[in-house]
Formats: sequence, C-alpha cells, structure tokens
Amino acid sequence: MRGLIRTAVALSAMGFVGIAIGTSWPIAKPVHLGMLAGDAYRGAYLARSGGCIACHTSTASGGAALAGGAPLDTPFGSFVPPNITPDPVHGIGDWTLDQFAVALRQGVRPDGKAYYPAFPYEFYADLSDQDVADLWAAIQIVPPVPVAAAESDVSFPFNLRWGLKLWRAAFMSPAKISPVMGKSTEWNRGQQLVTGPAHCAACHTGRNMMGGLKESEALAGNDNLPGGSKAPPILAADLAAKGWTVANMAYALRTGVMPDGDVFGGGMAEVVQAGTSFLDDADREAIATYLLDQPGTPAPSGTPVADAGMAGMVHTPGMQMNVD
Amino acid sequence: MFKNKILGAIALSSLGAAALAHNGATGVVMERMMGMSAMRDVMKDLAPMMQGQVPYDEWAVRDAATVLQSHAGDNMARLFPEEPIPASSFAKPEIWRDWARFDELSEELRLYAEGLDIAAVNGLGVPAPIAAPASPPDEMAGMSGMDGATMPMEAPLEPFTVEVLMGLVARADQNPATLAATSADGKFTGIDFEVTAADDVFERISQTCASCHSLYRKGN
Repeated sequence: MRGLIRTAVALSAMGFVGIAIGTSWPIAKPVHLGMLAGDAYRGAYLARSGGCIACHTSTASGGAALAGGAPLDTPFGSFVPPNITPDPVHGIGDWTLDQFAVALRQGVRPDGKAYYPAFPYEFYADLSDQDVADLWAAIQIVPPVPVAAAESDVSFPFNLRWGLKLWRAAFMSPAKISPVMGKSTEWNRGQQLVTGPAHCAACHTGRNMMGGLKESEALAGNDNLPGGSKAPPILAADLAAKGWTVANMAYALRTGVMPDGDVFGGGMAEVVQAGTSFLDDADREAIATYLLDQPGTPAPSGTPVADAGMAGMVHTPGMQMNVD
Repeated sequence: MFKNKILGAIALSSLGAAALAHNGATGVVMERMMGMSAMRDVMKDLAPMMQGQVPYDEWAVRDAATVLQSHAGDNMARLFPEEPIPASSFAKPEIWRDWARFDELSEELRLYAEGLDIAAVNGLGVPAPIAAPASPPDEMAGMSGMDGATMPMEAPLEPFTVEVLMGLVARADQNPATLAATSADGKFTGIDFEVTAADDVFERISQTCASCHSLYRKGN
C-alpha cells in the first residue's frame, strides 16, 4: 500500500515537473525586422493567396474584413479565427512587426504561447521578412473593429495550450521551399504557392490522430475534413486521371468549373471564391503546372507540363523541395 | 452538331438517372439529379468554348442557355420540397433552413441563363488586362529561401485594388463587367446582357453554381 502511494506521489511530482517545464519552455525564436517598410498591395495579394481574408472574415454573416471568421469545427473543438484588424484591444493593433512575424511564421503568440495548428502557420514558415512586412502593411489599411471574435471552444485536454509545445516537437513540419533547378520559373512559382501560402496540403493531406500532417501522404487526399467533408487526392496521376490539364485547372481556380462540367462546392468553392479567383492568371497556371508535375510522381503521359526552363542545370539533391 | 450533343447529353442523363435510381435515388431526388446532370453536361461543353479553346458557336451557346433555363428558377425550386433527405441525396438541410437564399440563387441562375441567351450574340469578350509576373528578372530570383528574397508577385497592372483584395470593397462594385454580380449582401444586381460578353455571363453562372453548391450540397 505504502509503495502504491509512493508511486502515485512520484508520478504526480513528475507530472507537475513536466507541466512546469512545458509551460516555461520557450518556443519562439527572436526575429528583428525593425522598421522594415511594407508594400500594402503585395501584402494584400499575399493575404488573398494565403487565405487570411477567407479565414478571418465571416463573409456569410456579413462580418467586417478580418474581424473574425466562421468557426472551424474539428474533432478537437471549434476554433474561431480571431479578429486581426488593427484594433489595439480586440485585434492585433498593439503588436509589433516582430511579434507579427513570430506569430505568422512560427505560430507563437506575443505572450509566448503556441497557436493551434488550425492556424496553418507551418505553411507560412518560409515567407521572407519582406513578405511579412508587406502583409503587416496591408493589415494596417483595414479599419479596426473594436469587437472581439467569439472564443474558440476546445475540449479537454486539448484546451491546455502548453500541450501544444509537445505537439510542435512531435508533429510540426514548417514549410521549407527551395527552388528546383531544371524546372521552369512557372513550376517553381507553383511550388512556392502550393507548398507555402496557398497551403493546399492543409486540406488535401491526411492528418494523424493528433492533427499532424501525414508527410508520407502529402496531397493524397483527406476523408476527414472538419465538418465531415472530404478533399480528393491532388497528386499528378490522380488529377490527370480525372481529366485535369494546366489550362482547365487554371480555369477552375478562377471560375470553379471542373473538367466534367460540375462546379466546385464545399470548401473548394470557398477557396476559389475568396482566394484563387483573386489571383492573376499566371499564378493560377503556376499552381496547375506544379500540381500536374509534382516531384516523386511521374508526370502522366499526355499531361501538359512546364517546359524545362533551366534544362542545362543539374538537378541536385540539395535543391529538392520540402513537399509539405 | 451541338444539338446532337444536347440530345446525347439528355440520353446520357437518362442513363445516369437510371444508375442513380439503382443507388436509391427515386422520385423528386432522381428528378433533380437529372436536372443537375443535364446542367453539368452543358457546362462541360461550354467551358472550352468560353476559354477560346474551341471555336465559338453562338447557337450552341443559345441551346445550352435554354437547357440551363429549363432547370433553374421555379423549375429547380419545386424539386426541393421540404422532406426527410434520403441517403442518396447530396442536399443539405440548410436548403430549407435558409429557403429564401436558396430560392434567390435558383432565380439568379435562371436570370443568368436567360442573360446567356441574350449575350450569346456578343461572343467572347476581350481578355481582361491582367498582367502577371510571368518571370522575375532572374530565373531564380525572388524565390523564398534564396537570399532571403521575397515572393515574386508584383504585377505591372493591378486587377484588383488593395481594398478589394483585403475584402473592404466587393469586387463586383469595382469591376461589374467581368466578375460576380452579387453585391456584398448577396443580392442580385441588374446587368445589361445586350452588351455583356458571353464568357462573362458564363462565369457568373459558374459562380452562382459554386455559391449554391458551397452552401447546400454535401461534399465538394
């Protein structure tokens, strides 16, 4: 009996020590952007590309821009995208550019706590300092909204935010995008968008029991999206089998019309309406070019692919991309 | 030629409907699936034409517009009586919880289909002057991860203003000639189809379809 009590006490002590370490474990790496000036137009375009507007604006209910988005219902709870207008109390108006950079690229709040991966910061990890400054400049033109977005409703034990530090250690896979020699500029631009800010894998890649992306199943589809919907596989062979080409995919990303004449619904309709339909034609074609010629998946015969713009250069392993 | 395709589409729709019936769709559910399939088929035929990939055919467009009209507006709404949703149906209960919006989108589709019939004679419009950075000055310059450079996204011409991109202004208000005719509050606004390009109207139709599918259809 006494041994049992000792064991319980020891386990409790270890638990408390673990929590103490977890809560005090610093996760943010300092950044110093200083007063780097941003270009609001480029930032606004990036905000569209990255889904900031789509997620943080509750369009269906007529909400103000960036004042908070529609809840995202997941197995872990309901996450409400917060108010990111420049309001100093209810938005992010009292943040510094450096704090914004850490939040966006590292997923860490100004108070040092981690964001839930419902915020796809992993895909923004490779944005440059200038990209961050541009986004910051774009946010400044949005009227501040002095109303907080609703609180997220996350179930126990996932509501213990310090546990996210463990999640980050185990599952976080920040995007690291390297240009691939031997591929065209268009292809590389597509890679940059797909694996970076456009965060296609956030929906089209399956997740493990803890919500981490399954890197081995990148873009292979996800049958368990929030709300019970599904995202089909978008690997090159799957896309070609369904009749996708660079031209019709670029058109679908603008209009929603698929090769079989059906029109996107569900989350993809929102992606087009609030995101890709705002991009320029070249970027839509770049996304399609990359998706139809992804590394590791042989391009199906008959599928238009990008021209090998730098064919004379060696395709070295060091220039391989990180698919996530 | 296109009429043959239309007839073929109807025949295929019938076959599809038979298949759906085997999957359990019957009665009004099967009827609306047939209607959706018929519209999908004409959209499939029109899309390459609207992109300029195949020669433009005014009469084919008008025929397609007739098919779309016949499945839109009241003809669509009457196929959605409020009743328990069978497993074979893709309809979401939100249709009846938000009937006014659903009915509005059905009518919007009918108006656009009617507009496509009127605008068919205008042919395709001049491509929007959306210039994009086809390539940065240096092949690999501007790639994140290379010298800390930024994303190459500066465009010589800006198709949307910062205010539109940030969601402060509805793009329909900025550029009604080329984009969705739904205003910020989702209400239909009038358009002079006699001077509107056919591909513009076609895109409006696709956007109406997408709006309806995103709200009221299960899955993508």
